Amino acid sequence: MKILREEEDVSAGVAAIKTLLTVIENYKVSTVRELDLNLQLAVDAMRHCDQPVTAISSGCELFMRFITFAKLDTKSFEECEKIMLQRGNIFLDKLLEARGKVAKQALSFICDGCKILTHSRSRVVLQAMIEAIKANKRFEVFITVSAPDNSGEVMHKQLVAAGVDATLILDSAVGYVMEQVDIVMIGAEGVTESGGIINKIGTYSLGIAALELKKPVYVLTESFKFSRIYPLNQMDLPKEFKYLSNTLKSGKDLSKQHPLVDYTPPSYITLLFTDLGILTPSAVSDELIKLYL
Amino acid sequence: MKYLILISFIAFQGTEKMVDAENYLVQPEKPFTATQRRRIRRNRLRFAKTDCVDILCTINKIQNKTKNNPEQGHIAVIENNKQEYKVEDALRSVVIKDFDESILQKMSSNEIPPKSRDEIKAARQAKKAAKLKVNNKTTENPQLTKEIENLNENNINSKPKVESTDEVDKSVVINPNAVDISTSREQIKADRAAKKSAKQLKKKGAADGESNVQSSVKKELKEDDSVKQNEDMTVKDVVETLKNIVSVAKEVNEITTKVSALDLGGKKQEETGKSKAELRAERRAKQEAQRAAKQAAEQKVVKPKLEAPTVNVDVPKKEEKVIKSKTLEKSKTKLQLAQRFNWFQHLYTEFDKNPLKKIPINSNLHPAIVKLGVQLSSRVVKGSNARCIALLDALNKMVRDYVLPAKTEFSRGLESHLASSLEFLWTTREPCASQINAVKFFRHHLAQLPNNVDEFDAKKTLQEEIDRYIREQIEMAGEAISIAVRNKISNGDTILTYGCSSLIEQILCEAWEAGLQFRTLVVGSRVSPDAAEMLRRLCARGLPCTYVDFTAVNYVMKTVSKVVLGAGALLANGAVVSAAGTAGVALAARARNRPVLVACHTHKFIDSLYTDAFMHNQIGDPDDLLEKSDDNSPLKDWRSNLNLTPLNLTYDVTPPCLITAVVTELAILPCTSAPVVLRFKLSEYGV
Repeated sequence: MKILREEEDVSAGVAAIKTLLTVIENYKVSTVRELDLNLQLAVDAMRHCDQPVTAISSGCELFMRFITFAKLDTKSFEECEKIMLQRGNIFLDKLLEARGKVAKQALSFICDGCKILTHSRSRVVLQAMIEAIKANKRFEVFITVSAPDNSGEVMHKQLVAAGVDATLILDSAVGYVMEQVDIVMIGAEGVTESGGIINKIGTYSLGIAALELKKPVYVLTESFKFSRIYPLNQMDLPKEFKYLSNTLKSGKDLSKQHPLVDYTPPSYITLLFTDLGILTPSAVSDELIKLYL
Repeated sequence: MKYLILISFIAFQGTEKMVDAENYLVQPEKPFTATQRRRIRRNRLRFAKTDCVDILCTINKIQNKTKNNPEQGHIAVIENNKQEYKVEDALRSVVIKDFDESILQKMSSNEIPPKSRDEIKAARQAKKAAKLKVNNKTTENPQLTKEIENLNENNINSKPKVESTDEVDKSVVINPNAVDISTSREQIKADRAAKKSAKQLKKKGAADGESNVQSSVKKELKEDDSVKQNEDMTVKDVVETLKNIVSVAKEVNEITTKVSALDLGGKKQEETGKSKAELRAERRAKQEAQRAAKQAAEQKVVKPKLEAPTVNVDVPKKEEKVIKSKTLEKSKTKLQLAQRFNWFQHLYTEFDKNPLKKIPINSNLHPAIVKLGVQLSSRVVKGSNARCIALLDALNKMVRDYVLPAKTEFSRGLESHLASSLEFLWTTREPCASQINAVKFFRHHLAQLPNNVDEFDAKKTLQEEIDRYIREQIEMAGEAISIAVRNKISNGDTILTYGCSSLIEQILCEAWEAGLQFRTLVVGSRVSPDAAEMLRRLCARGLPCTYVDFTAVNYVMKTVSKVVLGAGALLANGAVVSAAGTAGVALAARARNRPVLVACHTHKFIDSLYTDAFMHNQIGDPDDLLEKSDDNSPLKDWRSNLNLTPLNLTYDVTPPCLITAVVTELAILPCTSAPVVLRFKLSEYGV
């Protein structure tokens, strides 16, 4: 299972879903219930690995709902399994396409000569910018370093390799740079029911600065990252999202640990670009209800 | 004399079949002429302040019962003077005993025989005679005379049929509501006892004559109320009772003078149409009937006149005060009222604590509905959940006891019955969102019944649907919401809440009992006792709680971690309608960045949309704003001051930007997703 996660190109969420698919394929079981159990076990195992959990959990839940939609109709188990596999593959395909869709939508918002501020490493944003370059748009990108894992540097390298004019800035320089930029484009690890997003730590500060200086904040994300949690404030985020499972297991004092993600409330977000369409934060809950209910 | 006899005959007829609701006061064949109407009106105005017609009115009431509901059969045309109740009681207890016997025995079946020309003439004569006799009568006089006329006619006709129709009448009478049967049995017994005593008194002679007359009249009225009289009348008795009527009239005058001291004010003479008078009389008659039935067995004739007024003074004293304020209010001209509530004219309905007078004359409202109306109006039942459940319960009973008239489709018949019941209920208190939705749901299922459905099946279906609604939408939803909010409460939290909400109480108590350690702050206002009630309930379950007045909410907000509020309704834009003061609390929370959670069942979501608390609101009792313990309060005499109006609004609207999340049984949602829920519910339940 964990081998799949080594793929760099694939986000954790997609990898997780691929894993689940292989679970269905490889682990032969005779009843639907056993299959369910297996899948649950797989999901739990993935949660306990060292990857950020947000996308994994939401993706897995949506996957489960999607494939089990058809479960009750069929009679024999083999048929059922086949159908589930089918649906799982459809789901995965949709996921892989999602990124492309989102990037295309964002294209029209990147105009010539604009300056974009982005935060940490997001594959969707990267893809959007690559698309923009292909469409011969001229733009400048400011990318934050995003400590502690410095994933911004990786993003910077990738952007430069793609031909984007990118500048690396400190996290603390966000307020300084904000007046020069035109739009803020960020990815998301999870989208909450309230319409807010869970993203790499530092996103919240970025959102506050953008609101203060009246810059629009666009979030690029796939729809499988929609989750049903509704945090009321930063403290209300589930612990599993904020800290790696290693940290949680080790029993250290969590208040002294550095959280991985933070929650940006919907009031700081202008629009969300998803494969379901361009949504306002208040429409997210509408889409969620459609997905989950 | 003859006519008097006739009158008495008529007076003491059983009346169930007598009256068609419309023609209740009038001979069916001859409506009043314009002059007669004018005279009546004039008389009413002139005799505004006297009570003495009660007796006669009660006679009327008794005589002119409607078919279905004997309890409400005492629709009388009595003016809405609450003292009349007292008088009636007095009179009843005092007077009728003697009367009863004779009258009741004379009473034939409850049939209304067809009226002949002679009868009409006789009735008219009787009317004139009665008018002459009763000088200081109140406005009910003409009605009484009409009653007497009716009675006359009935008497004349019923006489020959006395024997034959008794059995029929008995059987017919017993048919309606099962509810009524039990009470009427008691009434019958009471009446019989009264009759006996009346007979005995009568034998004692003229010394007690007048009082007896009155008591007997009252008794007779009681008897009539129970609708079970099937007495035989003899001519002699009729004569005697006619005499009694005359003496009763005199008595009434005397009592009126006594009672006038208690009589507090003008009735709304300018406003009284027949219907209003009838309504009031109806209500009073009903109350009187019930009271008389109780007192019938116990009271003896000794010093009836003197005792009765005093007794009655004590009992309805509370009512008096209410009546006092009401009559005072009513006595103002309409112009004055308009001036008082300039901005709220569209909301202002007289704050009326007694809803029973609003019952139309021949209503066949189910007693559960009437009871609910009184409860709503007197704020015994309050809170959106409680009101919704009470309404559904009353509807349940109404469906259960509904008797389908012949050749009527079940759903149509019940729909019209429902409409009239709801009309009454909404006049007692404006419906809240949960009630509106419950009615919508009920109507939806009623409309969905197939055309040829069997009555029993239909009733069963409806009752099951109601039970399911209560179970699913209210109880189970409440549990789901409680669990959802519990997940948001962490140990060490301080939760702030405003006012009293049954759902919030459930949430907090269940969270506490699940082991979470948190403190509660209850914010209340001086005007309404709800918050104190909430505090009481929470403390009883062992939660650590604190009470603060609304003025301190900003001060304590820094110690609060979360705010949890209840809702009366959720509008389509996500705004929350709740008890007045909620918006202020939400604003204070926002100012300190505290998350505000609103716990709301989905059955309270409504389609309408308004942004402020002026468009739709309810005016509460203005006297609540007064400081009750302060005798020198400058607001004490606000009624005499035209420039001063205490305004007590019940609800306010909290805009969606102040609210962090709405907790429903479906999910925790942002406020702006209210239309999504409405859409979802529509697709799920069709309503």
